[in-house]
Amino acid sequence: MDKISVSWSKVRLFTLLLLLTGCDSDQPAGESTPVATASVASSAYVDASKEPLSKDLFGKVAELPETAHPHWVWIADFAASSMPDGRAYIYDGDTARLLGALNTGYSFNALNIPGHYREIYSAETYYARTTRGKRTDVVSIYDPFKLVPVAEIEIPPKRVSTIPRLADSALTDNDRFMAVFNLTPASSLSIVDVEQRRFAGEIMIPGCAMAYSAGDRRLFSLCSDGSLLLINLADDGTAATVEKSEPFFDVHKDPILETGVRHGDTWYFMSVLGKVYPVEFSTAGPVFADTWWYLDEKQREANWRIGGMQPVALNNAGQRLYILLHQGDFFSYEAPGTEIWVYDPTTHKRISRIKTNHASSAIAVSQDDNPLLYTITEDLSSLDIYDATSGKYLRSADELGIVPSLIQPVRLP
Amino acid sequence: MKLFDRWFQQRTRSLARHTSRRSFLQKAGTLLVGAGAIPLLPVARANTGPDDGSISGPEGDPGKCEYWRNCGMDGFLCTCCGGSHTSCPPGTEMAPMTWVGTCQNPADGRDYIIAYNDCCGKSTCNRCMCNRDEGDMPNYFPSKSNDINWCMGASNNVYHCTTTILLGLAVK
Repeated sequence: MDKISVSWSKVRLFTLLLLLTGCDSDQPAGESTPVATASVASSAYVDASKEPLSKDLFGKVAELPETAHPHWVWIADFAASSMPDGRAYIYDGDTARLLGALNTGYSFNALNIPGHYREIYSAETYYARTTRGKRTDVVSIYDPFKLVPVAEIEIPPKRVSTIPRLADSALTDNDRFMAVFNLTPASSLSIVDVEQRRFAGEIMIPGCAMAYSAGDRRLFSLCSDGSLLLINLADDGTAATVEKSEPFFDVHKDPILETGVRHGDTWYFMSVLGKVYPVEFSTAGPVFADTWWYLDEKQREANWRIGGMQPVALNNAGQRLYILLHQGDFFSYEAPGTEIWVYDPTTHKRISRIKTNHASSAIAVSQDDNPLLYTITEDLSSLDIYDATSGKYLRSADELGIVPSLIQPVRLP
Repeated sequence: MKLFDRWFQQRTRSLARHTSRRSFLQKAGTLLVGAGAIPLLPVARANTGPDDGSISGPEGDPGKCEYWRNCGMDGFLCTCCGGSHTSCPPGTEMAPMTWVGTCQNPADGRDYIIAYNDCCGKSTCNRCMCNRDEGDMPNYFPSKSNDINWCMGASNNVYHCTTTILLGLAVK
């Protein structure tokens, strides 16, 4: 009997859908559909003084307004429970509203968002039959307002698969060349000319990993001996020079984390024990400026540690450096943080201390004069949004994704 | 979704320890010596490891994150996925290269080199997530990084779960 009643309810539902969509063959096109007579005639109350609601247009698809806002923020989701199904979501930080999403393939790491915001780039991996068949790696190019793919450039099927890091790929400062880190385990970078829509070539980076931009045609990678590899590109995207620096940090005693932040020509890297390593790229070679402690002796003794998957952020407008901290042991540098300490990178002074509502696995800050501070909560359930200047909690976006890992605020176009 | 909780709670719980830098240096020293004893850098190849499924008792439950061989683990335990701590689940393929760690067996007090070979070709098992990170290094040091998907060395890069293959005694 249950089966019969279910079947009948399905029939009724199907009939109602036909009526609502105007597909009933007895109904002349354009005429009002007698839904009330057919299905809700038994309604206890009809307000005859009010006009009935007009019919909705079928098939509308939303687009984002073509004026990118600095409080738009992308969340990269590597979908660890179902890795072929990577995604990225865009939220409005002012309302915590989800604006749209992209599907970004197997073992997704992060988007590459150019300053002009006319396109979005994404290094992606696909298998012909989801988890088997031919592997194809591409840089996909998306329309940032319609959120649809507009082009793709095939690259060697070597793209690294990691717990995501922002530096798994990089765009040069002029937004022309994109570098994608490969690990087979031989290390290399695939260089893509996104303007000319072509794969420009592969550059071997033995003993080194990841990619950071340091100019219009300049990239660098971090190396396992504590040095960096500086790569100058020729105009066609091939390697003009590849030079290794002297080691500038001790990999074994106090390694730096992969999340670097940048102000002008200076990159800042944070070490596990509490040092800032500034590296300047204003001249031909890298200049390793004086390091400074972001944790004093007392704080280090109390086991304050940097931690999380994206534990550092920098607001360029106000020159504020944000570091996500917790108390833990040396190897806890991936553990979520309970506080965000805010520094002036010029004076090296701590300005404020923000206790987050929840332990957090990632932080980022918008790049405008009224910056928002974003955190992904430890259980990966929500994006918490704070006023980055006062530290005041503002709002949250919940049901954030599958395994959202990185936060990528849209830069000012 | 509970999976997120499991994924990150594991990552968090295992990291909620309070030890000193001296402790790290001791660990790092052991790891370095251990790694040096295996002449297969930059990564270990682990098709020579013995099957050690006979280990039992409180120190020997490979399905528990606390199991001694899991000291450098970051992934799903293959024991919970249709395989064992030394074999991949049916229909998957063991990646020949991986990261290595040095773990102490509480049953005999000895330090052993453990290779964390991933099993590949099916999407994530999603059972028995275990993340202990002892000796883990950032990704610019791949042979010591457990945040890298080592299925790169298999015929298919799709990650399923991770084994703990004993390569031999760590030489001090």
